[in-house]
Amino acid sequence: LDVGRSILEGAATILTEAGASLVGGHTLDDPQLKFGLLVLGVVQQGQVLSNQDARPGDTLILTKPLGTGLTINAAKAELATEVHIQAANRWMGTLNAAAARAALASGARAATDITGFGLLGHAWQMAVASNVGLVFDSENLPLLDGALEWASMGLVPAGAFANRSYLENRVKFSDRVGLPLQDVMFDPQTSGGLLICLPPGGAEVFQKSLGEIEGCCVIIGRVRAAEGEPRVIVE
Amino acid sequence: MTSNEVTVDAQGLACPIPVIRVKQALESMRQGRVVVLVDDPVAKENVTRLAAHLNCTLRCDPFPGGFRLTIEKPAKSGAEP
Repeated sequence: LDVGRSILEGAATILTEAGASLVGGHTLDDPQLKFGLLVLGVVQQGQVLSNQDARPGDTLILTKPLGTGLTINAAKAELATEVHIQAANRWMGTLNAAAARAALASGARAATDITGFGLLGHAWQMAVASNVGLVFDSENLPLLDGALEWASMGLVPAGAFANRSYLENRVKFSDRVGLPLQDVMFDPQTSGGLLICLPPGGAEVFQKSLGEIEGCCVIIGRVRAAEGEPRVIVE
Repeated sequence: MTSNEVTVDAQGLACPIPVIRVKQALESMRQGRVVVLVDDPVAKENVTRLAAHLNCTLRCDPFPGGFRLTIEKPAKSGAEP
């Protein structure tokens, strides 16, 4: 009962923060505890960022660290510490609203949220939709503490293997990108951050717009002209 | 068969349980062999990663409905008891 109360209190808090109203709901009788929200909203014209408008020369930024799926698996295995779990929870409980506002303020051309297909799955979708190639710098990826360790220990979620299998010939890794880091890049994210495509100079404006609000803005790659598959390169 | 051989039947178990069971088996011995039966390709991949992480060698053979993974733990590895 305490868990149920915590879930509802957490939902009420984040709905208030997001400026949303809860107007209905239903319950399921199921062995596994689950909770979800369906969001409907109205967006003004010109305020929508799709994944279709990335252009060669643009900069790619990521607004949350990767590794929530791995951390959840490590928690199930009772190998993640309370510090690891709290850090992952804090990021999963952070809305993308501030990052989305900063994206619009900094002239972002394209964006996508990183969820079940992992960074590389959503990146590949952006590359196809925009008909460009994306190049990631593996040394600059923001990662949750422990994520690489969980990956190397074999705590990789099933979804990460499904993502890897689907993207096998669509993503190319340089030799210096080890298997654990590849796993993190395929890791399905719960409430992941935004992958935002900014014009040259946009990252500084984005950071300034984000201001003191808790969030991250890490330049993780760049957009280049399309050269067919593999469309996504990790260097 | 050596005396230091343990079998972990992880068939029907979802990750991360197979990895946890194999990790416990490897940590319970100073050196020896752990034979793992898995029927899930995800478990096979994850156990393979664990073996490499613990500096153990692994051989994968087909097994009816899955895979038979033979892990050899040398005298000195990353999985000390």
